[in-house]
Amino acid sequence: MSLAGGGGRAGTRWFRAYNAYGKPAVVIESVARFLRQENLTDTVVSLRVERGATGEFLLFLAMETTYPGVVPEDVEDALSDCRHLLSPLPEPLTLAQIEGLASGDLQIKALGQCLEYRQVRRDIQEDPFDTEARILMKDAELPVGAGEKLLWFLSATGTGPWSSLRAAGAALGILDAVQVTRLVRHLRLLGHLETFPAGRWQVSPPAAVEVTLPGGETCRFLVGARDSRRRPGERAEAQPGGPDRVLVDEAGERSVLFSPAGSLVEALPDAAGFVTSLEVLGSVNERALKLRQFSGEGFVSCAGITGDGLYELTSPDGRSVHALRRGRDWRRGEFTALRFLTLSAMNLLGPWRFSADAQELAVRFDERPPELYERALVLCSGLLPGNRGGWLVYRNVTAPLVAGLAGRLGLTWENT
Amino acid sequence: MPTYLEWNAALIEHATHGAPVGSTVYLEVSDETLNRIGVQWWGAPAGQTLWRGDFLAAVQERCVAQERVSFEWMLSPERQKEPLGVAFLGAMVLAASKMAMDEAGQVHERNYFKRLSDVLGMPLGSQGRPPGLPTGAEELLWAEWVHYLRGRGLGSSARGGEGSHRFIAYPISQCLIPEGQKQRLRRFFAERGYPAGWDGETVAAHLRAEGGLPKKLTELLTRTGAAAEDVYSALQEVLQDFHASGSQAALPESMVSAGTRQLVCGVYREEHWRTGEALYRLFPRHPRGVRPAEMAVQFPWGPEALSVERPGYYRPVGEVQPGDLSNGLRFNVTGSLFVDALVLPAREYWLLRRDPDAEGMFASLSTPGVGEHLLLLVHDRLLPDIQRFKDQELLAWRDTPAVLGGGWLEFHDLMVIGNHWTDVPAGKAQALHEALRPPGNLSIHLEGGARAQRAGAYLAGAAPTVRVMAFSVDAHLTVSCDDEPIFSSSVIPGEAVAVTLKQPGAYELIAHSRGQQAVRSLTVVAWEDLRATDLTLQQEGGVELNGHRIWGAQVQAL
Repeated sequence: MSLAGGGGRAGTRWFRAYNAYGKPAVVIESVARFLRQENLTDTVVSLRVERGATGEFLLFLAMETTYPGVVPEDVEDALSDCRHLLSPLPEPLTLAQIEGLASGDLQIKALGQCLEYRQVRRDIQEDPFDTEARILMKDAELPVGAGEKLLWFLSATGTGPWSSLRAAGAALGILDAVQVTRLVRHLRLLGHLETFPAGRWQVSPPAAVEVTLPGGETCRFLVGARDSRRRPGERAEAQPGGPDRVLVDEAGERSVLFSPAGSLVEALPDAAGFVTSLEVLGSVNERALKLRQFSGEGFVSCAGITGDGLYELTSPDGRSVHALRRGRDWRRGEFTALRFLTLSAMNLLGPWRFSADAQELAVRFDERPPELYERALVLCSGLLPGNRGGWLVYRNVTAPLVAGLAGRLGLTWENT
Repeated sequence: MPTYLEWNAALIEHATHGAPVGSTVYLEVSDETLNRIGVQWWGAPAGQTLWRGDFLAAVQERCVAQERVSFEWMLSPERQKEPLGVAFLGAMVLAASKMAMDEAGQVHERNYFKRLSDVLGMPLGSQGRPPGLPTGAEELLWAEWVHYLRGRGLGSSARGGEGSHRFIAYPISQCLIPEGQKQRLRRFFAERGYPAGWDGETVAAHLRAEGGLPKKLTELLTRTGAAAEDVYSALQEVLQDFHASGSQAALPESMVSAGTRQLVCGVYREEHWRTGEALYRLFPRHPRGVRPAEMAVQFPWGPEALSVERPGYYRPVGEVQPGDLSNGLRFNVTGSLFVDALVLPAREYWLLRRDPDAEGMFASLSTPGVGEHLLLLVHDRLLPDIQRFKDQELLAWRDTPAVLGGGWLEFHDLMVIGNHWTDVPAGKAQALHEALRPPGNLSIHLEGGARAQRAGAYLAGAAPTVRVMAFSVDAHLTVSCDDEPIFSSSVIPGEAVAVTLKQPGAYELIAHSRGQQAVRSLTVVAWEDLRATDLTLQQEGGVELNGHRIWGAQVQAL
């Protein structure tokens, strides 16, 4: 910001009139330049001239001095050096008096006490819910402890807009929007958080999840809101890409959820039902958008809408969204869900691999199921899936759960 | 009967709940205040009595022993905790409130302490004060109260006076509009038919336009900035009291808080994520002194729960169409004995500030500072005046205004660039002219950063950038952390200041320029000090799918 002013003589506001000649706009600009150069704008704070004046006119200087009509000597001397300020009227005037002297409105030129208009810097609009494919391929690790601290922040705030989550992420050293989106996805999978299409997030109520391990023993881990305080008997296990898994011996006053993965599978619709639950987009103007269609392996440019499928729609301002076309409807959702549904419709999904001995389920990385279905798999252990040679491996998964989930999604699975 | 400590907690809640961050808290205590607190916390008083008697009995029992004031126990070594002396200070304010009602003339120190002795149920001591309360002892209690409020991002009206008025100025400063003036206002509201749904700013605009008020009230209406916000808040409260009582006369004492009030809304502006279309919602203000309850707004399309989103405000609800801005809205509210409706006042403009908690959103949040970019939502009947303000170099904005429909326009990135508002007539835009006038010569801006909770606290490592904005070429900034100075230097207005606010603590920033002062407080907290909010499955939340609600790992059939 630059600012005109100087000298610093706050006080009474009054006016002095000068007889001036010429084009008012030219005179005003000339006097304003002179006053700024001479650093007089704390005393002479504005100029006024009758609107539409021509030839000979009165030029009014708004003065701020300690006493009305009394101009400091140094300022008086400086003013007399301006060729337009040679014929002052003798008496100081009030605003009402100068309005009486003018036959019309007065045009004001402010000098001191003004700010230069600043252009607003605009941040690039992010769409946090359109998870791009590159997020899922990117395997960069998040800063150590960032997931846990972000969960503390979310738990303290309860709910908020995407921007607050981004700001907290930045404070933790996660400056890349892709990494934040990745971490948030992991928080959802682990039962800590929900996000909504309107751009808000909400932390989940705290609870202890109780599951049975392959050996028959019981394991309890925490989901939902929490802070840094740990009670006796609570153990934190760090896991890459997410918050700690906090194991507890006793649930305490927390509610206990017994094998919630099964309840979740029961609650979820089949694939067709899931499609109808996705947000419907308004009309899509294919002439105004750049289109690319998902081929099963990647996105390829297309001249127009050729039928059902997954499209990338890019507007002239560069903003892209992914949308699923089914009949006349366009639907929007998280990217993995849209890709899964498209691959399913194209009959390109391979069978899942299940190890009954290890109670582990392997799903191809590019074929991970819609997030809520995947959440059921993650909640079997409280652990994010491991990554083994292009396969995601979910732990502590039982055969009935695999059968139920695969049945919902119309998938086959192999017992290996 | 509630104990002293229960009254203490209730008074703190009454004074601070609903106070937006940065606002001034008045510890106003009168018979009316005590009744409102008592009824909300403990129900109707027994018989036809007032809660005043109960309050005084609790104070006397705990603070007076053998006809001497016992106050040392109230001074807490841990200044972060709730101060214990607030109910005692409340009794001091109550003594002053009665004096204001009795006499319009001078208040003498001895008279005040005689009143205080009566309130405490003890004789006046030989030093002209209640025995056990040496000269200036109460200042420590006021200091604790001010410190407690500052730690929560709030200011206090508590100020000492000059000479013999030094100590009695503290309780007197807790009342912005004395009872006598309130009665004048109630009569005025009755004569002019002011509706209950007006917000304080609208009330002030009408009072200014109509004139004929006592000098004290006229002076209050000339205030600007945060001081004007306090006046608006007080005016709205008097208007709501007037309508709650249903009469201009003094309220029947035992029924003083039985009347219901209305939640007055501002507006909250969001944008559609894809089209960028403006979406306006109701932004209810949390009235001070009304305890939070599980309330719901009964919209034609169904109820929506009201939840406090940040100090002073509920989460935005419903929707507002351009026609609603002109005509106002009113919906019934259920769930509280003390609130019966939610109203959006019909106005000609709304001045919206950036929501510091939500990038890209705008809301009717308190008074803007110097050099702030605003969004002006205005009816086009004021357009000629706004254009005139621009021609007179008072305002600047980006692009042509966006048309919303119904005669409403949006001016984006509007900025007040001139400080010569007194020289430019308001025309038909009197209220807008008042609202746009800068509150002073300078402001302190905090930009960016990550907020821990909606109470003004920032996270360690994510403090905001500090910028002093001023209508002058120079300014001076001092910064202290936990009362220790860490920065003191001349700064260039408009430029980011090289001061780091990394360490957790309570910061105070004070800027000076040309004899004026601006103050901002902020708190920086460590990540480890964050505390999880109370959250249960009974609250609203999660996603609905296939006849179930899924919230994290929890699944409920609907």
